[in-house]
Amino acid sequence: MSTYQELKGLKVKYLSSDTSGDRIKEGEVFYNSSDFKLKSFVSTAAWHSASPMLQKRNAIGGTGTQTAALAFGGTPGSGYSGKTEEYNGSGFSEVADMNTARGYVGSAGTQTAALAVAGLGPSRYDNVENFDGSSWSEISDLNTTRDSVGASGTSTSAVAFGGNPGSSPYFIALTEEYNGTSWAEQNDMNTGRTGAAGSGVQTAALAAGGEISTGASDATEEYDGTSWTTSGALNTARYYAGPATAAPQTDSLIFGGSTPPAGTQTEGYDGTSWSVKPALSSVRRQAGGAGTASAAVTFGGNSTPPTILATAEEFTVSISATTAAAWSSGGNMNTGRTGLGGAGSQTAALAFGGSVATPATPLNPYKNESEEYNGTSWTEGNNLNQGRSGLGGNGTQTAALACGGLPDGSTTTANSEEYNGTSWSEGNNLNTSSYSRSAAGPQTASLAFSGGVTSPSFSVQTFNEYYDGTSWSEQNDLNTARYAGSGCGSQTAALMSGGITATARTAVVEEWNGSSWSEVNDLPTSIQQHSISGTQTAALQASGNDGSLTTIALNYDGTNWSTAPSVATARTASGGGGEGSTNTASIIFGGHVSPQPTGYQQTEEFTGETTAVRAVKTIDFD
Amino acid sequence: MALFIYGTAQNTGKGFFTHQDRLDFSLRGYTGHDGSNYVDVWCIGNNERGAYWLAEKNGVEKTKSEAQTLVTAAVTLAQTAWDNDNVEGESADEKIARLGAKPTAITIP
Repeated sequence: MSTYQELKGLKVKYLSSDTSGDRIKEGEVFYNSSDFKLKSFVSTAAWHSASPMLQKRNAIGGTGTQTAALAFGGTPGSGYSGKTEEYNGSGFSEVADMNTARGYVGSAGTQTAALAVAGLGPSRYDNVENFDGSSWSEISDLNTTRDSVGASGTSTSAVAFGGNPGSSPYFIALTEEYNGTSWAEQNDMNTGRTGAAGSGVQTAALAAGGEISTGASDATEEYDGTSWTTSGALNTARYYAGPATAAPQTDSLIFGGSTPPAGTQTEGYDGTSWSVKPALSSVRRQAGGAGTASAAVTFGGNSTPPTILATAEEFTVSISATTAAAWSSGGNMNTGRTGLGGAGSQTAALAFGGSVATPATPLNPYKNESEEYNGTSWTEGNNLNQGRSGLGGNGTQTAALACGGLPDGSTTTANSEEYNGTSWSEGNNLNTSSYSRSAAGPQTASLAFSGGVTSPSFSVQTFNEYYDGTSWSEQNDLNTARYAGSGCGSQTAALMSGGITATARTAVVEEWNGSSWSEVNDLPTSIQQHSISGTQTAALQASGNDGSLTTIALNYDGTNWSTAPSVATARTASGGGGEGSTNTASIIFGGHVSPQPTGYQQTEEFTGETTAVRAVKTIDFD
Repeated sequence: MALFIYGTAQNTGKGFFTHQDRLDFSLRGYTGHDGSNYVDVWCIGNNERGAYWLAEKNGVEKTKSEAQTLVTAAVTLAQTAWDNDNVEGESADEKIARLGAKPTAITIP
């Protein structure tokens, strides 16, 4: 008879449900006492969409990790780009340009210490540049000029291999090592090629695929710091695939590339052989890549037929499923209009005023209609006392404020009105009349700033006023006079972005600290008549006009602007949420969808990225 | 394979394109004019889900050229309206301040 001491085995957690207990851990077996089953959470690999780059490009360089990647160079379609963008795991923001604009560069290092190796521009280069996190500087050249060179390693210890020297033989096997000072030739690869994907470090690098004289190659080679050794072939031969540049030699990942044509195939390498992984959502080749075999990101590239991409995707192996952020359609307003005011949240919004034509005409007058949104549909409510367009709006659906605007198309008003959830009532006037003013905060602690005046002649202003629920008081002015910008936040921490100055559209951004405005990092592009919601340190900006109607959306984290998923339909002078609208749950409605002359009815709702634990796996003993 | 499917479908509001739709295929909306009415013109990512979406919305597939023609017609109407909206004595800058810039041509992807 056995004794308990003689029984051998492993302890398992005894849980009342799949998600009870102190942790959810991949691969850990537990017993669910409710359904009497042994279970475990198992990781799953998947690609999901990510925020787009600011500039579409193919033949782009990429390095770093999934949460700290760097995208540089490439070709936007005509000419070559030196633009550099950082990815923070959420969106892209622009940093300093490379000294030499070019594509088809080799890439190595990290987001803050990267190398751009050789490449192709107006001519073929041997130039190498080093990025230190803020700017690029020229360092020692490669010994052999080429483009489409593979690269691995760090900014002080790298290896470059293969490429196209521009003359026969076009598919070379030359290898060079960088020691932080200069490049030195090393032993050649076994297979000369161009456009190979590289990962690993200088003493343990990996070269996968590439183009050879007969087309796409499936060849894989490992480098040990001295020589190259052939390893398991790719399942799908390809060149210009995206590599997970931070992946080690024995646990790597490549994706997309040209088979040709451009593909979605993803493969993982375990040090011996390649296995098929979930495919990219969209075909792409000549895209940038970064990250590891379990957390990668790809950006840019081109599809078939060649259309240059700004889009990005993330690859994640996890027990959690990520649902990317996106804009979706909301209910259509009853009265489409532009230049309207907005307040409230995604599920309890308020739209008021505006005009139904651009320009408004006597037959299409400035509007006083007010509508409430419940997250699904808009319902007509009681009207504003004064119809107007270009008015400021803030607060909630049950306690909103409307101020200023153009009641007749030619003369601005100083009127303000309060909404209590049922009807609008006159409040005390602003100290200065204006239109296209920005407003923020709750009804009884509002801030209204910037704006334009039309009399005696048109001018833009630095206006800044507080409302305390009873009266308006002047505060210190903005630094840059403007109208048709957008603002959010509170009386003690507000944000003002973009708009139109006396001379031009602007990218200038200012922060209000309760006593003064100070200029902070600019928007990546000058923009006007956009919508913004959230707080001074977590804002979401959407659409507007940057020279033409744009679908761009941007996140602000209190310091930097980065891209967010784009809206579906570009528009200007739309309404946006007020109090309760955040950078992860926002709304835009109405506006002007040039060239439609009547105001626009449509609504879009933004939901930020979410993650949820995947279904648990039951361990079956049958 | 073309990158986009083109079509017209009326945006009916909530649920017309869902969060999942936006993740499944690219989508860009434009305003067009068919000679009688304004219509919603869509450039839809060319994959199975995008194609189903247009069908489920009772959309009418268009060629790229047809879609561009619809959008251009709407732009032309807006430009004409802008050109014809004048106030005596108003300068060009004042007109732009009053109306915004003249609508510009839109080229669909």
